[in-house]
Amino acid sequence: MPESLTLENFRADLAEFLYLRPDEVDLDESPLDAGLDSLRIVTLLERWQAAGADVSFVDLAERTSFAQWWQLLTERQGGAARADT
Amino acid sequence: MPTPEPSPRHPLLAAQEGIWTGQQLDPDSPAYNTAEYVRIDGPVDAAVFDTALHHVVAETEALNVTYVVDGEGRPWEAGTPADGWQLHTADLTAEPDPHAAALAWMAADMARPVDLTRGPVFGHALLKTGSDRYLWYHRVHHIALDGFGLSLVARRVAQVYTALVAGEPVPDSGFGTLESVRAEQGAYRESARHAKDRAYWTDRYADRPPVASPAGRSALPARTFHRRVTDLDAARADALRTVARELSVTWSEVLLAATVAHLHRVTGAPEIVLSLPAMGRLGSVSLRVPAMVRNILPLRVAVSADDSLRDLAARVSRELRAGLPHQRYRYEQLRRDLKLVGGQRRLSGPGVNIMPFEYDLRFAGHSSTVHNVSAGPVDDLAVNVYDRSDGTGLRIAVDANPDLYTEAEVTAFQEGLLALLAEAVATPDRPLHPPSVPVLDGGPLPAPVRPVLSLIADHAARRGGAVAVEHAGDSVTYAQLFGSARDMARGLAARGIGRGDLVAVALPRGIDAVTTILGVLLSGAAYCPLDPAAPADRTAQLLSAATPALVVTTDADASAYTGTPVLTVDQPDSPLGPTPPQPSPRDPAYVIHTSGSTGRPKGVEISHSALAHFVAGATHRYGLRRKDRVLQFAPLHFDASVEELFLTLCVGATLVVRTDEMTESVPRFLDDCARLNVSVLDLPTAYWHELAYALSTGTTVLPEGVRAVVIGGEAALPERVERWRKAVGTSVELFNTYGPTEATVVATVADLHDPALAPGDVPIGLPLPGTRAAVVGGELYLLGDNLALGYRAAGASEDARFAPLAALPGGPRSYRTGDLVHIGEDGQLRFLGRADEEFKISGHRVHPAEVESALLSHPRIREAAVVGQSFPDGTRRLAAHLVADSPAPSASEVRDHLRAKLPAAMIPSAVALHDRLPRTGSGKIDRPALSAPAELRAPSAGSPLERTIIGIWQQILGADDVTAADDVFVLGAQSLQAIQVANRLGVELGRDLRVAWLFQYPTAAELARFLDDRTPAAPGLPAALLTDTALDPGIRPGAGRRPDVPRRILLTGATGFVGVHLLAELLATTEAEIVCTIRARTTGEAMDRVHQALEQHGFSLPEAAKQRITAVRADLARPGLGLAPDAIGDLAETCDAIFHNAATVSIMREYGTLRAVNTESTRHLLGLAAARAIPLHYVSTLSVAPPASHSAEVPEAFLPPHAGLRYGYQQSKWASERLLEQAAQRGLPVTVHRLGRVVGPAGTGYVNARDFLWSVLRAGIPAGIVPELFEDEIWTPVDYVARSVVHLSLDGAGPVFNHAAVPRVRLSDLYDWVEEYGYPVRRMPLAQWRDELPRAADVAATTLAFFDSTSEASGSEAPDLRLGHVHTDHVRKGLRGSGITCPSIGRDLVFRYLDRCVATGELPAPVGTEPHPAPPAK
Repeated sequence: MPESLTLENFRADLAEFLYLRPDEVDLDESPLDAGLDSLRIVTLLERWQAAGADVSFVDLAERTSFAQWWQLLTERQGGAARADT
Repeated sequence: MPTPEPSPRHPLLAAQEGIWTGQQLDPDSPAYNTAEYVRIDGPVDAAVFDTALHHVVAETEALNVTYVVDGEGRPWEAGTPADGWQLHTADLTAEPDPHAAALAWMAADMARPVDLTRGPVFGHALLKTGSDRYLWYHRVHHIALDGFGLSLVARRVAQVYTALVAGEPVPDSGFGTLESVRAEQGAYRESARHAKDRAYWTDRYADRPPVASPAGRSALPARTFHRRVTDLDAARADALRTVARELSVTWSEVLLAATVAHLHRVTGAPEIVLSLPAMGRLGSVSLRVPAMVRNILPLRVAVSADDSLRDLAARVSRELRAGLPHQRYRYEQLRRDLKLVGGQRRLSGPGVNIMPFEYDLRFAGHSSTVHNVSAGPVDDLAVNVYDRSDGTGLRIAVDANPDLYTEAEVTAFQEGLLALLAEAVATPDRPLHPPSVPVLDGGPLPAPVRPVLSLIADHAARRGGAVAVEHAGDSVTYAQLFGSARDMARGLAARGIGRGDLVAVALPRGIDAVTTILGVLLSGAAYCPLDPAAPADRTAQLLSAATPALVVTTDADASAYTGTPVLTVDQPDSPLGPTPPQPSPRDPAYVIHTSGSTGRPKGVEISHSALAHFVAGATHRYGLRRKDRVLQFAPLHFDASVEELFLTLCVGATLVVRTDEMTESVPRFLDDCARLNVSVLDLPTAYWHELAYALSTGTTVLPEGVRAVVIGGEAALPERVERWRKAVGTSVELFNTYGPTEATVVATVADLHDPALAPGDVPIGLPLPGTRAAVVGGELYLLGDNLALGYRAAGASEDARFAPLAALPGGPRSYRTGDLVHIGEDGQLRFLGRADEEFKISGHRVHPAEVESALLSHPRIREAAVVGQSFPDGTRRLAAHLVADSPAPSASEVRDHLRAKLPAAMIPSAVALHDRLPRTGSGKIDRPALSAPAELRAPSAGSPLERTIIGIWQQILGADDVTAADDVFVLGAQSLQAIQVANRLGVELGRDLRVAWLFQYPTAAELARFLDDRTPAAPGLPAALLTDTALDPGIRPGAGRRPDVPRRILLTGATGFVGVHLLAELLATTEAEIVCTIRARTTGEAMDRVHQALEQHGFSLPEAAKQRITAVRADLARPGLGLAPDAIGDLAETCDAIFHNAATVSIMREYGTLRAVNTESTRHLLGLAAARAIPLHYVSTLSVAPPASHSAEVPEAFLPPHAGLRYGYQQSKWASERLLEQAAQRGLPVTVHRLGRVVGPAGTGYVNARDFLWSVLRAGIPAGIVPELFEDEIWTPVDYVARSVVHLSLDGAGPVFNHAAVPRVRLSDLYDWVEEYGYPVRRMPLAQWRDELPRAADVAATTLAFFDSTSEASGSEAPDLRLGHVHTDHVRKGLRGSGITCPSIGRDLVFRYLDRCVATGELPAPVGTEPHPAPPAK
């Protein structure tokens, strides 16, 4: 089982896809402005789902900052099962 | 239901405007239909599914819309509830291929345009393709939903269905409103963000970069697209993902980079601008709204030959990430900003659409996979990549605009892309050099090349006694051949013909032809073979273009060549000139014509050098040896003959020239090859296909002596190669050759006998030794010394095909073939298709332009498009699509017109007339739409054998409208096709079937009859008889009215013996107008024939009666009675009774030849009679009844089929009765009148000269012998019969009348009376009579033939035709009180007949007696 998601991992994951160092990731930036595309979001999503987050693509894509992503991910950690779309 | 409110109207979303505009460019185009299907693996409750769909449609705002235009032409979206739509359900599990049937259904549904003003804009189907497999097909017009919107709907349907099945409440959809999307979009347009995005794009594209695409031009979206799908398997997809991770990019960026690199390779452009569809929903409310918001992003990427995948992927990724934050800015707006709207101005080029979304949809727990059907119209090229959700890899679908790309080009593009991708993924750091053009080398020649004439001269000198050529029992040795050829050369020299001249050779295959060809070459001139059977126009065209100094032909054909001096091979030896000097290697050796794209044939000039190189390379490649015996199959105007002739003679082997009879059938062909000890067969691939087929069925075997088979001329069908390999194995060499005439017969050769070849793989191999080939952009270029000098008298555009290939060092001269190929992993070439419209049929290259140009020379043809069509079984045909002025020419007229101008292979076998030709959005003729072959319908009419014949002809002709009566050669059948049909029919019927029979019996009906006749007497009735006796279900009494007293009567057969009496009787007993159907060229002639007949039978009618006769031209054997449709309608409306008396009376002919006139006519007349229930009175014959030996009684009723129906005439009349029986059962008023022997009227003693018995008497009396034919017969005088028939018909009852209410006439009495009259006759058995009858008694030729045929069938016995007791109650009852009685038939009447015969000279006067004064008739 993959380890559960920490903010540190979350930042590191984002940094990898944004071509930044983890400390350069601005959590207030929007995924759109950061230049993320669907495939990258799907790839991140799969990684986080594997770590136990119960989120969908739409959940992530409709949020307008990485901070909102993190909030969502922490709420949905550990299989707090909720059907969404 | 609440009252519907006035439908609200909204402006379109920005993305919708683009779709709207696109649709308006071509309102009837279905291209904006997008669709996918979801394959559900598990049972689906269709009713619940239907409920779920209706639920989801109702709650999806975007589907409840129509689109309206206001007064200013602006489009609006109107909320319009979509009701009344239905889910289409079908269970396809009974189909042979349910999945294919489902896809076909989808394709048909996709082809229907949507009316946006009416809706609905979507459609659903649930297709069952397996016991637990359903395909849910979901189509939506692109204006309503984009791909993401479609996925939202699909997900929701799965959710609702699952809830309904579980009986749980349906959860909320969570869908947002379209209003929220509109509001968001409006807000964006007013935002600073919008301005910032615009600044980004207008800056990035300020220089308006050139847009490169393989087509090099743009076109409007077409109605359809080519799609080529490949799957990257899991391993290759994993490799792609791995390298992406390694390069720190996504796999989609790797694919983008590979696409950029490939486009660079193909176009050479330093920058590629892609079009990327973008979801456009990040951070947007539209993530939860099914709608059309999709945007397109341009992506410009600089690229050079030195870039590696790593360089390019990084560049792509950077550019993409820079643009993505601005993805909401509309593409259409950017084009307007940049003034890149309209014309050929483009912002971006080929598209790459990557869909990373997995739909892991579950339907009540059952898993599913989603499959795209169409993503909308394709502007140029689009690479669509789908992540296959089942983890098996990626699916890559390359879509292309058919106006810009052929299917072969799409294939070549896709293969190039995949090859590059594989290469780049394997070595991501290696520069992706533009293709070093792959060059295939045939290897060195084994020895120095020697001129062909010198090689042949050597054989003549060293082995002069060896046989050079054999043909039909004749042969010549090398010494003889060479000697004659040298004499011919000197003869030509004496005429001043030598180097620089061209001599046309119009000779059939044979020794003379070979001698002539060598003679021409020895004279220093070049030869130009002409097809002696070509149409005169064609020959004239070739002669005027090629300007030969002389035509060598046969005496028989000499007159066909005017304007050019002619030498015939039959001519006595001409004066000899000096031995001419040898031609130089650069001198042309021959000129052979091929079809030209300019609409004219092109003459390809081949030099002696090219010929010598070809001979050296091919001889070595085939391993040809001196002891070989090579079949000369090809006509001389095909360059395959060059191969056969020169390879054989240059190696010193024997050329065995095929006779025409050899190809009568495939078994015959192989038998003859065995007999002639042929060791090498050189065959057109199309013929070899037949051979392979016949061999695979075990119909025949390959002769043991055949060691090698060379095939060429068109692509070999993999299926036939498999058949061959199964039947023949791999011990016989099978060389698959490829080559245009322009490269001297053969350019590449593959060993199809290589056991290592995978099934289905049919390479065309490698270049011949001494030559090379290059593949540039997927197209094959040929290089080396085998290339032609060029085209004789060609324009620059044609010669441009011969050009230096700059991509290779030194720019060697090359020939650009126009053939698309790819190089397999084994390094061998595979043929993919043509880069242009050229089509191969029966080994002929056909340029549609040439056929079109001939079609347009017809005065009434306005537009013409000729396309090649290929059917799944490999059958190919040409189809002509025409727009013509009225009256439009018939298909046969069109073919006749072409036949005068073009060779047979160029005559389209399908001719279709259109009001207008389909055109693409850009106004070009939509050739792909025309090329799509229609499904062939199985023949439905005719006997089983006829249907079998028709079915095979339809397959071969690629037509589905062949009828049993059609002459297939009029339909455009060619000799090779006849060979194919003979072969397949032979296999099907399990008998040897000769090609000649197809020419002799060109209709299925005739051929079937011929084959039936050759079939040993089968018990039972002809199959056609049973088919013919089913009355069409539509023939039923209609509601039309008619008067009690007939005003107009239709009479058929009015000029016949009975008919003319019926006519006279009808005129006498009714007041009606009598309409007589007559076979004649003009109405006047028809009328004359009626009056002649009346006169001939002694009727002189009052003028008033004559005025009541109307003659109409008709042909009862033809559908619609050969009448104009309005004439038929007129008769059906005005006639009040029909007397159908016409028939072909023949004791000899088979049913098949009589059915049209005698049986089908009844069917047609019943059809005419039905609407107004017009009474139909049919004149039949007592011979339909079983003879006494079969049945003691003849009922006055319809007869079931019986074993006594042995003769065609009898059968045809019975069949008619059978039709009438069904009509009577359905309530149509019909009567049937069966007549016995109808003899002359008692009053005049007139004898029916065509009567059978009188034929016998006329033959026998002069010889003094008469045969014992039967015991007794029913005789009725014609005047009595006519009165009875008319009376009984008009007074009702029946329906069957046996006109036999008279004492029978005994044959012994008849002969007594004959003797009494003064003719001594001996009575004897039939066989003896037949033997003793003088041969000169030609008067009874058919009668004798009849006896011959019957005695063959039944020993020497006379056919037993005597009837049992004939019931006549209906006749007796009907005539009671009418005053109609039969005059007694006896001695007096017979004497009167004999008097008449003597008077007319048909019988000699009895010796020694005066003619008897016959008593007057009563």
